[in-house]
Amino acid sequence: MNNALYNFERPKNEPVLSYAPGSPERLCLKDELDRQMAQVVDIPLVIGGKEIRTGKTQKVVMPHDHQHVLGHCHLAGEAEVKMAIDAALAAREIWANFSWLDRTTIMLKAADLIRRKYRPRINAATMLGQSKSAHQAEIDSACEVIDFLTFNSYFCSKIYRDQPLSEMENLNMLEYRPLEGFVFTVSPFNFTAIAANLNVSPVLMGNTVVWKPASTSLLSNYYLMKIFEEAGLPAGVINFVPGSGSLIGNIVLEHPMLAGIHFTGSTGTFNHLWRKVGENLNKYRSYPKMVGETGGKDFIFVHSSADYESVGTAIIRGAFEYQGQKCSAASRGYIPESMWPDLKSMLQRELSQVKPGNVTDFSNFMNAVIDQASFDNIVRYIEHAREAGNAEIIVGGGYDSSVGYFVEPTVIQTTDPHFLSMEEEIFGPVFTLLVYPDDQFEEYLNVCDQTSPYALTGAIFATDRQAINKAHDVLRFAAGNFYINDKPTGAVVGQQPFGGARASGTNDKAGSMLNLTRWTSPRIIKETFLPPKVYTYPFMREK
Amino acid sequence: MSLPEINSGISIADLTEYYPESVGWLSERGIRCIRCGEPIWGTLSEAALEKGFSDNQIDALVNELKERINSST
Repeated sequence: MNNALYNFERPKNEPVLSYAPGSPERLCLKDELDRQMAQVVDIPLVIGGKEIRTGKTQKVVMPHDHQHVLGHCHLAGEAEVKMAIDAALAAREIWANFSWLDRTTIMLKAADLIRRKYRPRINAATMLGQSKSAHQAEIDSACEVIDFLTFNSYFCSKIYRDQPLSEMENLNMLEYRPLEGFVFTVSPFNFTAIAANLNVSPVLMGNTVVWKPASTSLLSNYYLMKIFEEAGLPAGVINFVPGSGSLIGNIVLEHPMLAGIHFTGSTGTFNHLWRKVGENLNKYRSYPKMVGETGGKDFIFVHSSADYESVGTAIIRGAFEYQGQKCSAASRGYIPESMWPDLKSMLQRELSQVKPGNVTDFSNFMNAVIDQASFDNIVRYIEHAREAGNAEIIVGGGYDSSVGYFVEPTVIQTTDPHFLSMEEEIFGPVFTLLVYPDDQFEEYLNVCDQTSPYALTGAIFATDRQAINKAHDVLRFAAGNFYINDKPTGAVVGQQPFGGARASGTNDKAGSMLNLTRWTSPRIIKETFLPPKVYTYPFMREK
Repeated sequence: MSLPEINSGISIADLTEYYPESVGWLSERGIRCIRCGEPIWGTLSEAALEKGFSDNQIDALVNELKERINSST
């Protein structure tokens, strides 16, 4: 028995490779893109370590060239969902008794596999299947996945190290048990890293999971599953179950051993899950822990003291990178009228050069939105603005789905602070802004705070420190991740733990110790060395 | 393969997959089927209830949707 107590050092964030022309990583990635585009992958379910092919499949296509099929993914039916729950519960008996050092070792090996062996594969799969540029894939499926694996292992070590005080006559120990049951993880399409974290967090703390991946990120998510297996994850600890959310959810949510839900996706679906859990409370052995990161209507608020070029760059990157399909993407702005002429010119000039295109053309800043349904949804908001009397499309507004689901970066100017696209999450490359009188800074801070039900990310741009402080105070509950003079996207594991409150989720901060603690059910153990032999106390004596 | 029947119990996922034209129509009535790039979970009835529709209004909504789909096919 290995009795070493390994001392984890705080890891460093994975360096982002540049993919500049001539770099070795660019050559490797291009080769891998060619390789993956030339094949059609058969993607099975992975349950209890076994690959299962149901025969009911869906196509996995490239959003930027939707006739190109990358693979076929088998979908779970009722029997497979039940099988996955059984596999998770069976594996729990073994996994919960693994030392935490063994569990972290597997995760660190998975990180190293991605770092040195599978980086091109997972990045290419994310680029092709989810339509990300090389840079967006690198910061997601390589760097952020690695960071979640290494930092969560470090956080895990800190949690286990945290123990209560003991007196001379007794010993107190806090045992960080896993939850009593299985955890249901539901991942979104937009970040391969979120899929990794949703599973890794509960698994590191000794839990086993049933994982329902998004239906539009199956290739990268399947490769992620294979990497976990190669790293030594025992069968059944993570069960990869693609399929209909409603079908899988209905079975999982009825199961008495459902112990937790780790979710990233829409507020509507999370509300649905929470409601169902509430309806089923009497069926469960424990209260399921609900951890969800949901929608956002993320803002950039600008004070007149700010520099318009910094603001313009933040809008372009924050609103349009990955086609605005980030929960944290900037999607509404408040601009002082003194700055507006310069900023408007800049946005029109710079964005006129940005055309979404294929991911294999590395000169493209933007690519396609994820699928036809998303495309249609985004188009509705653009057309609504085009027809509205109180809004004007000042940049973009074009779209074309004939080859790929391409939507131009679109900026809408409105005079109505409650215009539809100022309030509702679109999840696409549409940024709506309002120009306000410079002397009404504080009034419009309040408007910003009260406009949307969400509170995920937001940014203030100003050089005037008093203005920054005012925004800091008024917008205290308007964002869980608040940025000063920076775009509201790009949270880094271990540096800016991510999550928001209000309708944006439970704010359990992915990329921090706070998230991992949700996946434990601590037991305190007190051992007394010399137990008392009489029940009376000194105060009870007469003298 | 037969299409799923449109009724109050149809899942939003089935609606978006088999009757994509219903997504925009429902959105105009306050029911957003696609969020964060994915169909929301649950049934049409559950989504409508969340938006404050009464049982009678849900019945009317389903009938109107059926008529619309039938007229477009």
